[in-house]
Amino acid sequence: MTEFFASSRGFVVLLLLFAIGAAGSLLFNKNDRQANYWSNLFACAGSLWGMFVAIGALVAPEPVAFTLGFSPFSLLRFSFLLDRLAAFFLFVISLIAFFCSIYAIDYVKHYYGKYGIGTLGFFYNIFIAGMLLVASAANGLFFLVAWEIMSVASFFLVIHDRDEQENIRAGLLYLIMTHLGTAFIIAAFLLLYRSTGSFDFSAIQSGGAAISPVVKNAVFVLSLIGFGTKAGIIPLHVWLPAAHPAAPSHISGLMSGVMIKTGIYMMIRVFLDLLAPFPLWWGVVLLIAGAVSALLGVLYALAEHDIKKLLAYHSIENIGIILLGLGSALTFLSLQLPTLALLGLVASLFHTLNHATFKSLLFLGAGAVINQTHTRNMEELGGLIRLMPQTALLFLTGSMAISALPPFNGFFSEWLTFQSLFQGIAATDSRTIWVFVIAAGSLAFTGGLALACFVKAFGAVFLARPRSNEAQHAREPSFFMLAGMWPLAALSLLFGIVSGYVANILQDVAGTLSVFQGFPSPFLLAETGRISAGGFSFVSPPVVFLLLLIALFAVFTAFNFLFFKKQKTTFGPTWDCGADLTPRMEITSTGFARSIILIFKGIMKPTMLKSVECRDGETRYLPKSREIRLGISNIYDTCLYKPAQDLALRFSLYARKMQSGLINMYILYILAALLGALYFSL
Amino acid sequence: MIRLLRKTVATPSPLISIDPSACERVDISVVGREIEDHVKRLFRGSLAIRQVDAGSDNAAEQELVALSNPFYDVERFGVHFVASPRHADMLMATGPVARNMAEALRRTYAATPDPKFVVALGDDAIDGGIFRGSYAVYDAVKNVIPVDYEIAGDPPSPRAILCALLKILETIGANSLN
Amino acid sequence: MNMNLQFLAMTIFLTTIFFHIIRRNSYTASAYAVQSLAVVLLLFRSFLATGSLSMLLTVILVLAIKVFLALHLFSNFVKKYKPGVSATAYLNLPLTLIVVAALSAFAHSRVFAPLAAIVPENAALLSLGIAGMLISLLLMVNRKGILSQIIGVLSLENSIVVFGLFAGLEQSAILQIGIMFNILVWLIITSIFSSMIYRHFGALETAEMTSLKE
Repeated sequence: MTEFFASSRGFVVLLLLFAIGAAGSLLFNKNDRQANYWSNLFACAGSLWGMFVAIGALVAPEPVAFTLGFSPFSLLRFSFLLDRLAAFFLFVISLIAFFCSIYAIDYVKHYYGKYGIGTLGFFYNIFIAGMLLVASAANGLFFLVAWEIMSVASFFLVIHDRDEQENIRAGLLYLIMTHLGTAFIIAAFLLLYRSTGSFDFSAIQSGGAAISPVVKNAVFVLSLIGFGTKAGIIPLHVWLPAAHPAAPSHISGLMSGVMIKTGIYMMIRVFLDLLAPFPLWWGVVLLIAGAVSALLGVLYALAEHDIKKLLAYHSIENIGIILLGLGSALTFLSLQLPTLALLGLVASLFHTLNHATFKSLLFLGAGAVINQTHTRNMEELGGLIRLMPQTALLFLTGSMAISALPPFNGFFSEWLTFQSLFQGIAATDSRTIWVFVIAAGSLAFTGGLALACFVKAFGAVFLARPRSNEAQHAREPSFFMLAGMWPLAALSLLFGIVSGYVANILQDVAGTLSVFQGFPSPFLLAETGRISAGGFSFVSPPVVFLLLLIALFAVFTAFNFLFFKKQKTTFGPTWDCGADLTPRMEITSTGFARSIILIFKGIMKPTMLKSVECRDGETRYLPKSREIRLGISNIYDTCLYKPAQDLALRFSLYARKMQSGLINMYILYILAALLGALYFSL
Repeated sequence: MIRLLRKTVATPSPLISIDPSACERVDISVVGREIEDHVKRLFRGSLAIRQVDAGSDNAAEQELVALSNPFYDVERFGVHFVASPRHADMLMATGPVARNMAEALRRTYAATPDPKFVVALGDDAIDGGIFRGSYAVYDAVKNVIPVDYEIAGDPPSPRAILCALLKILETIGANSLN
Repeated sequence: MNMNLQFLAMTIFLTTIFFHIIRRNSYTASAYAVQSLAVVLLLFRSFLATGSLSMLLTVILVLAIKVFLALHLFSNFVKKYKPGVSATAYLNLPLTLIVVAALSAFAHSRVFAPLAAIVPENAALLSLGIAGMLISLLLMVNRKGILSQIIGVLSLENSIVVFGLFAGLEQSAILQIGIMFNILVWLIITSIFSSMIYRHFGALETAEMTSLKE
């Protein structure tokens, strides 16, 4: 049975499901209801099928490779390779897409009559199919085509809410950034083609020895920038906090949960699979990029009061954590420590899976809140735990998982990342030890700040009293939205409890990469659900879970039956010193985060704009109203993108001088070009 | 039934009567020591009082403020005036309860944790005093919240307040023994 | 090598240089007629050599369009609008001649040896053809008047025909006829457009048209 799923026919069925979903939803464009059910049910079915395909490829003894159709160009082949790595990513994509599609059935209802559901469903199906193609393509050109399908489809999804100017601008920024990245990726693949004479991954892999070190390094830098743009490595992250708030929430969940992971997948594929062996500095660069992204990502998240932007910055942070695992894997490989490298790669893959589950859960939860309150500004929310208790519980689950609190899954993958970094400190010499020390420090810092950030987010959104009229009238979301979120929350817990087994599977997944062939003893031992990092340390997730349950139970019982036995509990209003409590008395998320931001003001460059309006215009003795705006200056715009733009503009102005508008001048250019061409060619 | 009736009859008047001349004669530190003993026994060393101004003419407040000055200095006996009813063991309400202050008084009473004692301080607080019958007042604290003890005087002097407080503590001590 | 041939090629080359020297537009038009006549004679020679009928048709067409129609149109044009009795140039005459000399030298230099070597016996004539093309381009660059520009393009076309003939790149008659048709349409369009431009802006000098840039 599994053979059928993981075969060319199974894959064709998978693509057909999405194709039918896309085409049908375009056909039903006139009828929002039909388009919605058609597109999302087919997306559900396709994702479910995708999970079976992925599982089939995971259990298959050999990588499944096949070519579909034939292409008119000799270099482009529609060839697929479903090895375990690809299968793992297929599984993650399908899993998240499945729940996001369930959620979408009720979520997109608020677009009825406002925007066409047909186009949304069309691009949604195309987008998921594009991601699946990216993860399974085995030919460079075909991969680029799939990559472009994914990027363009997601662009149209981002600008779906197109009445707001801001969303269009965000979409354009995304489009520009993603194509900037694609340009680098194309350059990388062309370089590989020049050295190996083929775009096929297998040919590149076998011809890897022929690639000169200079070309390899160039490919590394180009693909790091290219895939890093998609993944959102700082300073290439600028599109993430703009595009995620603009997109509908189930799209944000998919984009943040899995689309940015395709960048990670391709990094693993290109660096570890195609280009190995490689010099030491690759891993070091990845480690530094990861440390910077993780730390700065969480700091910017802390400063954010738009809930979806906050989540987007957390995606950057988590990509940083994934890169820490990946970077340590690369470093260990170039130091000839393959068992440790396996540990690092497992950590990064595990965090990829975990981040996909809890980040999509958080985005879906945020979507439910925004859907009810029509604002993304956390300063206008609050008190929703009473009105939306289920959503609050789900969001809390996601927050605990992303803050790496046991027994949720985030803890165990970060634990593994820590282990690989500690092993790096223990096992490497003075050349690289400092990188591992910095990386471990930054990861520890990141964990603490992430916790602070989600205390802020959860507190501001769900606790205290509603800060706006909209927040007072929020209701629990409807059935399918909850049905999409509950399983994700359950998975966050489940992947935590059974993380020993998950780590074992991931070890098999990572172990099939060619660089790990021939090393029989895995470093990571997982038996009876216990993860043990080579005798250095171990953690047993079920025991942790049980201990926490027992502790919770013990505390509860102790308080109820021992300490509070004789005491009577009465409920009364909050003492307000005689005044009336208003939501303005609550601590704001800005206020909560301000102290931490001020600690890091050297990096964050917080800004404060004060303006006073006076009753007496000239003398300004009697102020009427004061306004203070706190913010973070965007150093990437001012220090990186603005200068680049200025340079391009200045060059353009210079080039414009050539355009005299004089016909003689143009003919002179023709004459000069002709003479030059003749001179050099003859 | 009979027990209840007997209790009703036997329930002493909340008014704490003190002998003014005796109070004049006795040394403050002696009264204070006794208060301190009671506070140590009944309140583990610290009696927290929240004063509520329910439309007072500020006379009683002046006297209460005087309790904290260096001459009387009740803090040395373990008696504190606190800033929130949440911290208080005892409420001292002054004034004839102006209509606008009735709600504040009720909320303060509700916010004070049990067990609590309410003392109406001054004649205004006991029965409205010179303001009695005015359309603007409720005449007495007991018309708004339950009152346990009353200290008469318009206003009572600090010394009288101290003596009355001692009496109150003695009563509380006697009740707690029962 | 035939003296005749050399004479015709020299005529074409010299008329090309002549375009640079003369300032009066009516002379320019006549010089173009002379140049085209030389081309016609060259083509006629090739007809005599090959005897193909289509070549004859080409010759007649070229004669009709390039010599008579063009002369007629240009003289009408000059009479009607008087686009500057004398055309102005960016470079003065001595400088122009120096550049022309440099271009001719460049065309005869080693750089173009491979091109000239296509038909070794016609090497000098081929170089002459290349020099003609470059000098015609220079005419378009240098002159401000619109008539000179038109003549420059047509003279460039003549030089290309000559080069093709000498290089033995036998163009099919159909192609030749097609080119002729093209030139016919081109001539008509340019004359109409220039008259329209003149009516609108009262000038036919390219330098004046920079003000239309933005």
